[in-house]
Amino acid sequence: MINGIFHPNLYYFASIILFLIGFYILLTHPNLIKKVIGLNVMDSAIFFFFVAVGFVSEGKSPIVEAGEEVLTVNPVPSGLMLTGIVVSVSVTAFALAIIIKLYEHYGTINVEEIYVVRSEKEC
Amino acid sequence: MLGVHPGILIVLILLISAFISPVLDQFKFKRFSLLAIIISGIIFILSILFMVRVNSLGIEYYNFGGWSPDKGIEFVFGNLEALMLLLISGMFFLVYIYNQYKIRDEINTHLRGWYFTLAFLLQASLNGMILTNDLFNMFVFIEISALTTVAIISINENRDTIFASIKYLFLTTLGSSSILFSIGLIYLITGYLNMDLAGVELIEMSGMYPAATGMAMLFMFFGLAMKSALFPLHIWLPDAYASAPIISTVIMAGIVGKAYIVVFIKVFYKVLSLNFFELTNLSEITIFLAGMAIIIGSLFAIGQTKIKRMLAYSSVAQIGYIFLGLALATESSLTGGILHIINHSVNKSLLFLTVGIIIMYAGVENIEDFSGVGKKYPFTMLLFGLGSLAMVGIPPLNGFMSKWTIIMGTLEADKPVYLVIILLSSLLNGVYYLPIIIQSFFGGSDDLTYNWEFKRLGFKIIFPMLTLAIIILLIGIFPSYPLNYINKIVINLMN
Repeated sequence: MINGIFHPNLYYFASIILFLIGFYILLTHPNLIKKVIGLNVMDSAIFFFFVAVGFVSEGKSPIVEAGEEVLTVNPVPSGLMLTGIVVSVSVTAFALAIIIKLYEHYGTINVEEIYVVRSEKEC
Repeated sequence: MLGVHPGILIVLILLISAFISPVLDQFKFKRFSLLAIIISGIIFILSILFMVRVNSLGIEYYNFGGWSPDKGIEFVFGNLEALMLLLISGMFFLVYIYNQYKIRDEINTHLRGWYFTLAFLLQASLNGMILTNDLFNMFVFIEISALTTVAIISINENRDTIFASIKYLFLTTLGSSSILFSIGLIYLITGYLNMDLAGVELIEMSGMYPAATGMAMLFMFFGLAMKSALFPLHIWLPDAYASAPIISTVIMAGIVGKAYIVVFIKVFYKVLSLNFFELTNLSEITIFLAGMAIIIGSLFAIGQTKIKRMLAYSSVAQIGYIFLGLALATESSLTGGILHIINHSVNKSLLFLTVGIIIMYAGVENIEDFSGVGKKYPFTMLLFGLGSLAMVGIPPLNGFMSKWTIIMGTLEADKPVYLVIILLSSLLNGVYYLPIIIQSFFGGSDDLTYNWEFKRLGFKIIFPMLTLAIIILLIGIFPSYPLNYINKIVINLMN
């Protein structure tokens, strides 16, 4: 049904665009919270990519009874991504915790302002 | 001899002890450094057993849960893995012995239990990512080591460490995400996560999907270069090394960076086949970046005022040597590159250990204040001098052997420009190391009463430095044994 409208490679294409958006946010935004958001967008793009790798059109969920012959999606990438999501969540939590500490020490979460504060301290 | 392979036991013991130490902390347990020494000692003995077993039985594989390699996770126990595990566990053992008295007091008392949780987890993840033969498992270990490294940088909370750790966290996570994306592409092309199977499949399939393979290679290269701090992706390194407590700096400089380079070797020689690496321009780019790293790292090091920052930039240059050896991809250069991983780990650890004593005991942190330090701490500065001469590459020391072998590699690969770069960089190394040694011994005032250094520092602090100095001399004077061993690994990798 969906494949009638979209080319199957479109999933990969979309995930790469998402990845690049996340990459761009991470590299260019001075606000650290936005950097974390960019990181999450990037990770989500990768999860999307992995799940798309395992997707088989019109495939059922891979719970098969003995002797049954059905077309199923590949469960391995989805399984891997459960681990990937856990890793991503812990990185996010850790990054946010460090950002709180950074705010306590510098009074800002803007990277450019932090550089200004640091250079003032050295002078 | 042992029912279970020692390699499995190493990872298991470390993971279990990582979670025992905070529990002991709850019961007012105080002797964490003793616990760490005992556990890392056991790990060191196990990695010697591993080495012996590899030499007698050859490469072995272990499949977790009995799943076949194409479905489950597989560990591989080869010569390269044995060598690197011996290096890592030996280094951790020495670092934990060194972690006494004033050095230990740098970390708050109530955080010590947690510090060892992090350090054990870090060691487990480094060992795991070297041993594993499964790409996704490798990613998980890389991510654990990234988080624990950030945590050991920021264990002492102040302005500098917090800033360094957020910088490192963002950049290293960017690297991990790129690696994961690359793994996704490899899985898309081949349908395997096992390195051997994916590598074999990729040789057949890469012709059909050149764009996807090229992208996988690019992302994998970017991620691992970011983690092992190849120029220009080294920007996190000086801040992280300079601000972290000395014990974390030694762990990062001597051990963590090297493990990622071993992963680089494993991935680029097993999975993303080298022929393809040479077909794309990535090989040329890596060689060029390594050359830049060697020169620019040395130039930056000359301009530094703080000793830890200077050593950090020197690391950038040394990582350039290693990558130059790996990317030239001739037999000698790869041998030199792997030997340089060991040499740099030993030398840089020795330098940071001695600098730690100078910083913590003499209170000297700026390079200009070093004059006269050698009169108060002659033994420490003597070892510092030995380490820095080995770094410069003076003939009877180990740094000379690896640089010489890489130079042979540049001639084999017909790239004499890099020979000039290596020689020039040795000169630059001399420019920033020698003045410190000369100043410390001949500068400053003369009216000092010297009291015996062994008594003041204690045997436990002297012992690790002395051991590393002996290793430097041993590798330098008898290079044939390590060179032959590494050459065996290289011939295996090249085929």
